[in-house]
Amino acid sequence: MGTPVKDVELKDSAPQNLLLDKHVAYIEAYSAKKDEYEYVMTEYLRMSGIYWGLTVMDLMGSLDRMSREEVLDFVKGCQHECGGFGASIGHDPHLLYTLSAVQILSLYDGVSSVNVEKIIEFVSSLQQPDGSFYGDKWGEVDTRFSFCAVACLALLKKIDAINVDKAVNYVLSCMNFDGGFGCRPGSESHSGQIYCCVGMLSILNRLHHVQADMLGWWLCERQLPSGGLNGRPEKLPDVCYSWWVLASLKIIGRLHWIDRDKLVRFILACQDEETGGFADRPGDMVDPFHTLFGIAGLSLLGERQIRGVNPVFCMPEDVIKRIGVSMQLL
Amino acid sequence: MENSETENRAIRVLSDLDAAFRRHPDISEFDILPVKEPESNRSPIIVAELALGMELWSARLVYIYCYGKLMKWRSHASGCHLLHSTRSVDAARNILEPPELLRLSRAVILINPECYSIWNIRKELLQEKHVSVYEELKLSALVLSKHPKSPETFAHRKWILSLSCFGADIVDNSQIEPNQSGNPSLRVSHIIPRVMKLSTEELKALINEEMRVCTMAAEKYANNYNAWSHRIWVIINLFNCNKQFIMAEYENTRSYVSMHVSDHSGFHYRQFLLSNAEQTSSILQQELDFISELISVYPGHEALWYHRRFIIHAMYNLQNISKSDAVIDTSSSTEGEDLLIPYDYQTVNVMDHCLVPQSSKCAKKLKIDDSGILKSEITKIELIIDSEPDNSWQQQLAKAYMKWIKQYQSRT
Repeated sequence: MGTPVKDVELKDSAPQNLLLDKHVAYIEAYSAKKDEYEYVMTEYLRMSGIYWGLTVMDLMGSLDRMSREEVLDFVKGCQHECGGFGASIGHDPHLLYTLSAVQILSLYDGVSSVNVEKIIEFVSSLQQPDGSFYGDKWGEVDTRFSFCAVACLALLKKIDAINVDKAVNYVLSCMNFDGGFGCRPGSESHSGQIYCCVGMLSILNRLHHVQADMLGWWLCERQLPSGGLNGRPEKLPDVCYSWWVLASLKIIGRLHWIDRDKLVRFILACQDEETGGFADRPGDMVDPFHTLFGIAGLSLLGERQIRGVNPVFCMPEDVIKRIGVSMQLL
Repeated sequence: MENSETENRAIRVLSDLDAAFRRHPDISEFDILPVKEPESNRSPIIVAELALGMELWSARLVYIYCYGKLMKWRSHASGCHLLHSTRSVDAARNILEPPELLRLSRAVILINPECYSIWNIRKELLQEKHVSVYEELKLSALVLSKHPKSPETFAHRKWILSLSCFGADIVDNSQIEPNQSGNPSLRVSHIIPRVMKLSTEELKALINEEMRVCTMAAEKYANNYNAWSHRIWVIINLFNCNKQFIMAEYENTRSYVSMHVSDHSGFHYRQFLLSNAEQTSSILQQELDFISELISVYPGHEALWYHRRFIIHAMYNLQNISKSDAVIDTSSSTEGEDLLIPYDYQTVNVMDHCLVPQSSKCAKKLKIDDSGILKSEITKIELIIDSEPDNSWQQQLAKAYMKWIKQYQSRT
């Protein structure tokens, strides 16, 4: 007797077609409902929420439905004297939301509306002697922040503001025997952290450090019989890992190692036919986060109705081209 | 301005919450009870033994009230230095005293601990000594009883521990020159305590409590990445990977992983311990016997098979280290690119990499499996594959393991 594999079963009644119009309507409506408890509860990540919403709208060719001016005013209002951005008015500056702010500004070609020098100052001030990055002045260290810092500076064309060799060394010190990366030295491999570390190495042109075959192997083993991907061994599949795992595989040139058709079927099954939007798993509540990563995942898998997505920045490929950011892909 | 009826209700619930904390200072469990509407006139704050419950409808009221007050204060009156600020007009009306800040922030954090700026308000209050380290550790442990994987709560604890154990002014990074080039040694900046403020006994008590909190969080939520990463952080930073402590942890976690055979994070923790212990072939053999038994008693668990990969990798590495005199100390390398042994990942052994990257020594390997570790492993796994029902999950995992080990073998 064995234990059944931790996975979900896709019902025949689950959606099998991409419901683009519904998703556009869902994101548009989501940004309008500002009084609800859920909106207040998620204010601490508003800046990222706006980045998710705008990016998925742009990927679906509907960015014009959002208010550029309103968004840019909001973003501008969240920049602190130190240069960093908070998640919303009243929230403290942090690298996570600074990257989201820079991504939004880049999407709208509006970087010049904020103080860019200050952003660069903020980001580089968070690098530590060992090459790692604090998320903010309180000192939490995580390889996610290494990605945020490097991605931010790359979009602002100012990579030389940090010590690149040390930043790379720190991330490599978080590599495990299985080829994956964790949040800090000694920590377990995790698909989200792998995406951050591989993405950061890609921007810095240092992918030769990655053990691509072994890492690709580990990433492919994230695919479950349902077709969905999990983030770590024995976790349930989740649409957001269609992004973290797939983007990592794309960067290291091993996207074709997974079963594409099964994954597409899984992602499509996570749509809500009534409300629009994607959930983590079939039948769960939808949200903008999973909607972006469902759509972005389908884009990487070659869905023609969606615009091309850049695997490192999770932004439309043409935006990255316009800015002129280069990166290494294996 | 008069308060609305909703506000008055929120204020009443908040004062009930404060009263519960006053009357029961040892509350150690918190939960939100799935009561969507007020059912009677009784208070929505319930204490049973050491557990505190808050009815869902009241949590919403309290959250909106407390969060709103704090944010208004934060964006107008204090701490907030926006580049394009329009504050100060009604700053005077938004003054909140530290005791008020503490009770409002406590309520917010119990309900939504990812609200990072609220934790920051409490950090400032701790720096100004309006709240003690002890109280703050107690509150964050209570938060973890309801939100066992909350990353911001673990981050808050790390900040407190850094402050109390190192006395290091971790806030100040002004002297760091980001462009300075120098020796890129892999030392984590926190590893060496600059000023020890605590006695050894106090430090031990603090660490024991940290281990207890991590275990509690791990038991409440399987595969708890943040809890186990926090535990690793504690061992590296507060115990400097002390070998005795590592061995004690190794013994202690045996029963945890035996009872949580799906918990890869728990097994990864043992991998971390083994990587930092004095490695001998007997300890690795013992771990291999242990995992073999678990694999046969609990078929169909990927976590077990993944742990087995690590053990074989470690055994293989150990065998080759002992045969090789060429040990390279990477910590003294002067160029970043030399950190890892240079290799071409496409043609050379991709496993040719230190056991765990933070260990300072990497060994050049003799690429020979002459004691037959991999060979005998393949024979054992063939038996398992043959004995399992076709297409059972256990058989699929065994086959995946077999593929992995053959790939490993082909690279060595």
